[in-house]
Amino acid sequence: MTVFIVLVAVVLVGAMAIPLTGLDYHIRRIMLFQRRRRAKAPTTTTPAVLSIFQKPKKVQVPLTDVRDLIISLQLGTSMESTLTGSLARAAEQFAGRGVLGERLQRHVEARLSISPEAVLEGLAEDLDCPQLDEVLERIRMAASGGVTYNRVLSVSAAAIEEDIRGQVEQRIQRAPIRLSPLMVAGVFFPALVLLMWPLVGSAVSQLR
Amino acid sequence: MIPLIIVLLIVGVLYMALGEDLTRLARPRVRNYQIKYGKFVTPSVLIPTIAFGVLAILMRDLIITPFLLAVAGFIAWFRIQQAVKKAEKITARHILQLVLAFRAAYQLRPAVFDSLKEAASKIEGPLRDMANVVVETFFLTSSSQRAFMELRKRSSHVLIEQFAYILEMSESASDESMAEALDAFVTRLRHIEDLERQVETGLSSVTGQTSFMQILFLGVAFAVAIVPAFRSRYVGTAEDMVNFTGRLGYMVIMAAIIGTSYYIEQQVATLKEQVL
Repeated sequence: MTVFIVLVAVVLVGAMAIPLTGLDYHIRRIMLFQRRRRAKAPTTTTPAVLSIFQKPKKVQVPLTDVRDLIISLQLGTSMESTLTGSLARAAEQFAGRGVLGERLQRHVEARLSISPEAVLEGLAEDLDCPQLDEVLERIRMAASGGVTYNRVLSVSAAAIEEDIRGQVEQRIQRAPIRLSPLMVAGVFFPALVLLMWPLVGSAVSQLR
Repeated sequence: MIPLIIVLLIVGVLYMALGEDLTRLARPRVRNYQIKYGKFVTPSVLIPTIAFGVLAILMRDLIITPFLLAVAGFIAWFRIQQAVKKAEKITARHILQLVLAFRAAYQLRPAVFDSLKEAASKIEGPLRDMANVVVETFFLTSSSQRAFMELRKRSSHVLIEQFAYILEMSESASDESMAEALDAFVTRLRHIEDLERQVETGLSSVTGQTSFMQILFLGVAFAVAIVPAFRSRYVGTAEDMVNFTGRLGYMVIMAAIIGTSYYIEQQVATLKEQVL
């Protein structure tokens, strides 16, 4: 018993000493360093020889990112800027914002000199996002005449927002189905066990 | 009882030997923590912490009491971290308030930095500080480029980037285009805010259920701590103090419940972030 008391006392003193001596700051720094190191660690890739036979995979991107991109383009075109200028600006804005930013920057560097449609085409090819294909269709229609880019992008942004709303509703509907069993198993059931254990224990000891 | 007296005696001797030095060392740190986290100590932090503290006292056991105190400490730390994150987070609602205030000021006097200064005075939170820094940088350097660079340095939020873009373009665009862009931006922000609200409302059933379960569990834990027959099953009787199975069982159950609650809260937070 004394060993346990000493152990508990040591743990308590240690827990109090960490924030008071400033050791928590160093622990946080170490954790941050390790997190960054893990983030930078190279991921496993297919060997170059095999990758020739593989069809390039389309990357999934959050629809909210696509919506933000379209809104950026729409703002650009509404402010008397060209679609080319808006795309160049969006590439700067989205730099460092996941796969979408990275691919956008790459296509802007490589294809913007051809046409803005070519940039969007490249994005639609790379990313698994049917909404981008629709945007590209509309942009092509606008380029062939009749409608302004601003109007087209505004309609596209509204359509994407509707899609996001649908996804949100789905996720919200799924959340209770996914989390309720966990809640019952992890909170309600253990609480019941906490209450029942003494009752069952005393009943068993009485039977003996 | 005797081991407790021995521990108290050791603590007393240690305090007499090192107490003064430790107090001197700890005082500035405690003051720092007070300044840094004092404003985040709200009822949502205090109530569960106090509840677990009281539970620890009611259990009055040499192993379970420190365990419950550690749990209370963990809950306080977790809740404070949540509050800090919430205070630092810039939501679509905050940006909408700034943009609405800016638009109102800009319609009366189409000068970007004067309007931004006025808009900043009408909002609260981190966005206000950010807007003030932009305005001050402009008035100090007379360079709008530098001012907007300061804004970008401080936030990578895409909506702020878009707002900065509108402000930057105001130098070359006409007033009509500017008004049109601001209107379109406000409409988008309203849609995003609606979405945020929809998510909050939709997930309230899950968070409500979790809170109910947590309250139920606390009720059970208090019942166990108060009723001597229940408590003795976990901590042992006065004659039989060595009840490791009971103590271990109690701690495992507690850890499972707290772990699940933490996991569910994290899941709900992740869901919110994914959606927005």
